[in-house]
Amino acid sequence: MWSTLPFDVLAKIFSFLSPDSLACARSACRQWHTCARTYPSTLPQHHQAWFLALPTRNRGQCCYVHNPVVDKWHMLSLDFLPDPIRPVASIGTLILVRPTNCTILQLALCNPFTRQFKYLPMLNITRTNPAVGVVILEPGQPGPNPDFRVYVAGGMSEAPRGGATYEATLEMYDSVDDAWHIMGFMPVEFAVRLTVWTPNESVYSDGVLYWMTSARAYSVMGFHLGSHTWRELSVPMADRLEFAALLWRNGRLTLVGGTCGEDACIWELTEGDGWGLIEKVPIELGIKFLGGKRSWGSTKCVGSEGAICLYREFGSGMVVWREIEEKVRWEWFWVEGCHFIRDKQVQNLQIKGSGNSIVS
Amino acid sequence: MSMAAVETKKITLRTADNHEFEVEEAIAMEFSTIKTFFDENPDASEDTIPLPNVTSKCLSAIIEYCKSHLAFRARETSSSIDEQVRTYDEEFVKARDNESLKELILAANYLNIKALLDMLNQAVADRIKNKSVEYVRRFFGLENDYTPEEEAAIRAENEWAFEGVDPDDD
Repeated sequence: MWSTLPFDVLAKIFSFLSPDSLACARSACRQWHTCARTYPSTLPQHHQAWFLALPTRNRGQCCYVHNPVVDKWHMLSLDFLPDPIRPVASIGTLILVRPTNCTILQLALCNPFTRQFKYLPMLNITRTNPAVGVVILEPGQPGPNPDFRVYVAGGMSEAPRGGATYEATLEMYDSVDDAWHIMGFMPVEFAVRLTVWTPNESVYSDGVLYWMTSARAYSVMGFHLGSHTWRELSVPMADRLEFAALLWRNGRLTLVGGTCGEDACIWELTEGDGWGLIEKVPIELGIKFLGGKRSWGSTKCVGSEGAICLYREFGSGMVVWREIEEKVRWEWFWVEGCHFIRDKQVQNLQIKGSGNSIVS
Repeated sequence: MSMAAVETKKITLRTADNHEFEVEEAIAMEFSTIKTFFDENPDASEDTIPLPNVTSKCLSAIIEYCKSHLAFRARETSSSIDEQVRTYDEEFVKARDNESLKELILAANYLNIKALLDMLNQAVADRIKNKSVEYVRRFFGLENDYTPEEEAAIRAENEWAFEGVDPDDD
């Protein structure tokens, strides 16, 4: 009987279903509903990633998701959230989020499709604005959910005699024991850079957790998990880039950035910490995306396995570079901005995007 | 002049319904569960391995699959080989009903054959992609065990996903 399939087997089947098909599967019977809720999956997802748009000022308490297969937008209610949130990183089908109504960092896991929300425990050292990174571990046992770790570095904390100070400790959350562990220290100048100048998601590649920092000129900071050492990488055209984002693509650290009046570029980290240019945004798409302007200033970028999305506000379109044939061919697409969902007009909102990303 | 006969090592497997299968070592090593067992017990290779969770019907299909894929992998990679692999996989699942697919999934999961399991899971996912909830229930023989209130609540939650599904064809 399919209704009595063990949950670990069923959870693997579910990882092959896109969010809309999974919604139907969940609705079929109690067992399947329980499985989908018990194992919101950190497993690698075997379907095209969906772009999730979260309004930055969460007035409407909803988010929008884009189905790339049929080029359709859906609205999902977020009324199950206790507080407004901002996305930080994706972990399989889950999103790591932080509530925006408090300045000290607290993290939570959220699945807008199954309407689940769970706070992680508080950090050992409370701090504001640290850099946050996520690593999903290789599935060790054939269990349904690979474990993951969250790294928090830098930030500002309360100084012993009042006032604030840059926090030089690094903490790690382990999903195995649901607890934070202090991992060590970092040079204070790195803590400063990671605190003030790191608005974006981290990328894990080849044993190193990377963050983009943007103090005057862009640069990349990397934390090697094995040896607990830090290093810095330079970035091409660092002082001229108007936007820059780090992504993981095809097993390599990837950088997307644009300079005024020119095509946006995609680089890949090569041996010896150099960057090789692998692609440029096609001119016509760039012009359409910028609406005739020359500045890439308000551009943001997210990526996932098999897709890179450049986006601005919700009503503007997106430029997507998507894997068509596994590891062989990628193509550029235009995604129309969302103005109507089911004939109801949608506001043109500032958004923060998130793709379902898989990192190992 | 006689050819030096290379003795290919054979492993004996016994299924749930007490049939014994002799398979070449190379094929048995495709089953990660068995490979791990031999890595940990190198002296056990002469013994018969019991597979209480696998029927003979399943095992013979799985052996065929592994044999064919090993043969594909031995040839030089090319797009025509990829095409042949795709065709083989499609044929492997096409004629099977849900019950036998389910048994194969459970067996592939137990024996830990990742490529086969991924392929079967994808096949099941393809069969219910873009279908209505009723279709999914009928297809898998699932009973709707929600109360009317629960069903209404779940439908409201997942309403966004229900537009645009394929019309049910019986």
